[in-house]
Amino acid sequence: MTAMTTGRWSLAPALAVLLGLTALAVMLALSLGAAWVPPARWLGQDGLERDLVWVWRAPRVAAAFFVGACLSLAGLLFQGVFRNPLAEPYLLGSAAGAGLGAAVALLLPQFLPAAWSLPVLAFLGAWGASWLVLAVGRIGGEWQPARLLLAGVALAAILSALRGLLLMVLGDESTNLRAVVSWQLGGVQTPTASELLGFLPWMVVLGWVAWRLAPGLDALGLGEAAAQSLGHRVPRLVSASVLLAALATALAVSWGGLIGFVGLIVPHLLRWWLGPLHKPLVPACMVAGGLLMVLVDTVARSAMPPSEIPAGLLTALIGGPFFLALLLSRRERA
Amino acid sequence: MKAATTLTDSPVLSFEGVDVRAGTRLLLSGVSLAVPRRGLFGLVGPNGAGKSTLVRAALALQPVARGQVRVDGRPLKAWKPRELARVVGYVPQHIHSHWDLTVQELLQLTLAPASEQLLQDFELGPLLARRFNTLSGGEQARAAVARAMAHQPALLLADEPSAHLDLPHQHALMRQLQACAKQAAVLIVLHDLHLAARYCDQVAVLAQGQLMAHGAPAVVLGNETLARAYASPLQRLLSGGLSFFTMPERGVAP
Repeated sequence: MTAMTTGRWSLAPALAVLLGLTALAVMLALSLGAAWVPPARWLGQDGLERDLVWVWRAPRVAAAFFVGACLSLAGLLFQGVFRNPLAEPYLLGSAAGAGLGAAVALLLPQFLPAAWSLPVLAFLGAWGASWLVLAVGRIGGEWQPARLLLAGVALAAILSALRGLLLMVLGDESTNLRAVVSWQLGGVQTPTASELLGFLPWMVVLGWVAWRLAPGLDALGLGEAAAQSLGHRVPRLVSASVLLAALATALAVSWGGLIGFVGLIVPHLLRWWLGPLHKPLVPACMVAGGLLMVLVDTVARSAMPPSEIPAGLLTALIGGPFFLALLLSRRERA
Repeated sequence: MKAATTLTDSPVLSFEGVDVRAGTRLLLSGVSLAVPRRGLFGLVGPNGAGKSTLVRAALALQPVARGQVRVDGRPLKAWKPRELARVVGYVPQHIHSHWDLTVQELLQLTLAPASEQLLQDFELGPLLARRFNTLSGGEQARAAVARAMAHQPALLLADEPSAHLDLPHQHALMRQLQACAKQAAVLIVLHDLHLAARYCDQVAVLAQGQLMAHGAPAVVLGNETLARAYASPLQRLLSGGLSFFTMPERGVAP
């Protein structure tokens, strides 16, 4: 077929730009913080500065990238399944489900060792919430995207209320309560070296499975019947996509707490830039989501030293107006 | 000129005593029908007759309660979805993309890339960079049919693709489907009896989930069959070798 100028970028140059920007953001993130350490001094004589950059900041920058990549991929998958650009883990109840699971893990450490129970319960919460939303949206035949979104908003409110109730009943003056409160405002954790090694395989698995699901999500954009007529098993496609999105949400929530809007903003901006086909969007979203979170986390820990601004507050401050602008532009188009 | 149908060949699509239910409601009842390998096959009937249900049953989108649907001689259940997709193309009733696809991107949602010839036949070259959702109804219908034909399926199922098109675009689309029907079987759901009579090689009339008649349009689309199917005194008028259909005014005997 003849190539035509559509004003959209193809994946390779876009990815090159995104990776270049990510490299710059990482340099900034390693240098910036309570103390400024320019790149020339990263490997210098001062052991304190070296430790600051390589022991403290570098793992955290990697974790921020990982959280952003997961959130952005989850947003892309949810938007693909729900066929709605306003869908994202935070708005759909998936993040709230993960939040409830994680709160249980943090508040009951005597029964459940948090090291493994937090990601597992976060995953179960995210997955269960996504399925509930899908089940409600399915009532009466085909999935209705608008109903799915409204069901997600309602479920997110219920799950947040349950989390609040848990905090009231189980919280005390102990560190657990502080941990839950600080975690639910959103903030990237600093991983150990062994934890850091786990990020790469997760990113590869998430990206590869999402890449495989991409043609099905494209076809789903034309409706369930059209997707099925192209040989896609729609229930299986939806199940796999929701499972993957829930997994990505749970991983992000485990390392970054409740951070909203990244999954909304990144896929949306990239759709403008690269077009709506999912295959190029998968790697682009992961890199751009990581890039955004590296920048957000850098601001969070550098803006008001020695305190940190919760990353969730920053993303809400950026994402809230973005969401409203999106709603208004859709209304104008309608 | 109408495409020659090879009636001696085994049908590409057949329904054998098919019942389709939605809960306790019978949507199709004992439908037996064979669609030949070439030609334009029209499916007409009043609203709620079961036309779209028949198309959905052929795509395995609607479970069959009784009877058998065969594609290329094989029972539908024996086909894997991907295999079936290679043989059957589908143009849905409401053509809409949830995403802001260009025509070029839409044409990538197929099992094979659209050929230059196809783009030329459907006059899509100048539209490739345009957003699909901003095209006119006629342009959208052309792009949707071209997408469904891109992998050259043996059977194209088109569910009212001419609905919401103005008259010239309806005829243009029918001529394009007629051209497709030289290479493949095209089953099209139609409300416009004139289009069915003018362009289709064969027509089946459905009413209340049952097959009322099936055969050449000149034979099938007679006043009696139509009156029974539509429960209204429809009248066929002949002018210049073409059939037109109308309703007599109230109180005037047909």
